[in-house]
Amino acid sequence: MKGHQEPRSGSSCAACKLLKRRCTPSCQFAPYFRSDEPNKFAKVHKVFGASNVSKILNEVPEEQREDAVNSLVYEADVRLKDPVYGCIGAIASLQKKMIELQDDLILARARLAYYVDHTVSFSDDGGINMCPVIDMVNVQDCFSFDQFSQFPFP
Amino acid sequence: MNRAACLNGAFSVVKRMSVICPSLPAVGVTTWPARKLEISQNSNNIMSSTRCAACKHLRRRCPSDCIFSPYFPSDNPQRFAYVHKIYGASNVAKILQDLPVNRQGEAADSLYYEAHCRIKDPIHGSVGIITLLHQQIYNAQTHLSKIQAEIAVLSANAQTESKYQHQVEQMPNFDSNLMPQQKGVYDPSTWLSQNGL
Repeated sequence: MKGHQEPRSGSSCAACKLLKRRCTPSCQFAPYFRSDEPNKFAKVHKVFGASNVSKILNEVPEEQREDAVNSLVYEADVRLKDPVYGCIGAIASLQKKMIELQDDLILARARLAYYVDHTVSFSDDGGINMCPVIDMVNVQDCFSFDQFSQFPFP
Repeated sequence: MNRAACLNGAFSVVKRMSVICPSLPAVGVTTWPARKLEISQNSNNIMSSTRCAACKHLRRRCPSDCIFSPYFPSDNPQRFAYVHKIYGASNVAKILQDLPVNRQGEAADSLYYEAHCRIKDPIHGSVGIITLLHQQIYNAQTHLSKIQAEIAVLSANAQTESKYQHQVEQMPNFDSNLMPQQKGVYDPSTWLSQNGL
C-alpha cells in the first residue's frame, strides 16, 4: 500500500526534469530553476551536484536564496569554462588590474603634485589664482576590503 | 607576476602590500611529489601506508592510484572536508580526472579556495569577491580620470602662463603697471564642473 504522496506540480521544474523525478509544489528548486532554462540547472548539477545545492540553499535565508542560486550558476559556468582555475582565475586577473591601477594612481598623483608645486599663483586684486582646489584622493580609500588576511597558496 | 603571486594576491588585502613570491617548479613539472608506497606483507594488493585525507574522510581503502591522494594529504583534513562539503567527492574526482596530471594540483587548489569562499559566504561565495573587485576597479578608474583631468587643466594653464610671460618679455619698453590685468583663459573648477567631474 502506497503512502501519502504529494500532489504533482503542473509542470516539472528544470531540476526535477533532469533528475527524472516528480516535481511537487514544495520543490526546493522550482522557484529558481524554471523548466524553460534547462542549462542553468544542468551546469550547477554537473559542478556541485543537486544534493549539495540543496544543502547550500537550506543554509541560506529564503529571501537570499535567489542570490545564492545566481552565484552558484555563475561559479558553475566559470568552472566549466576554466576547469583548472574557475573563479579564482577571474579574481587573479581582476587583482592584477587593480595593482596596475594602483600604480597608475600613484604616478598620476605624483604628476599632479608636480604641477601644483610648479603652478604660478597671482594673489593681487583682479588677478587669477591658477591653483585649483584639488581633491587629493587617498589611494587607500579606494580599496578597503580584506577578505583573506593570509596567503594560502604555497 | 607568477601564478602563486597572482593567486595569493587574489586573497590578499586589496591595497599596496608585498605579495609572497614562493619558488615554484616550472610549468609542466609536477608540483606535488608522488607518494612512496609500502607493500603490505599480508596482502597481495598494494596499499598506501597512510590513507589520504579523502579516503580517511570517506572511510575507504586508499588505492595506489587514488586520484585524491597527491592533492589531499592526510595532514590537512580540512582541505578535503571543505571541497567534499561543497562539490562532493565524485564531482571533484570527475573534474580532476578530466585534466592533465600537471594541472590537477592547481585545480585542487582552486577548488579548495572556492569551497572555502562558499563556506565563509554561502550566499555569494567567490562571486562576492569578484563583484567587490569590479566595484573597486570602477572606483579607482573614476578617481584616475579625475586626477588626469586636473593634470590636463594645470598643464594647459602652465603652457598659457609660459606663453604669456614670453610675450611680455619680448615687448620693448614694457611697463607692466600700464597693462590691464588679464583674466586667465582656463578656470579649473569651472572646467571640471562643466565636464561633470
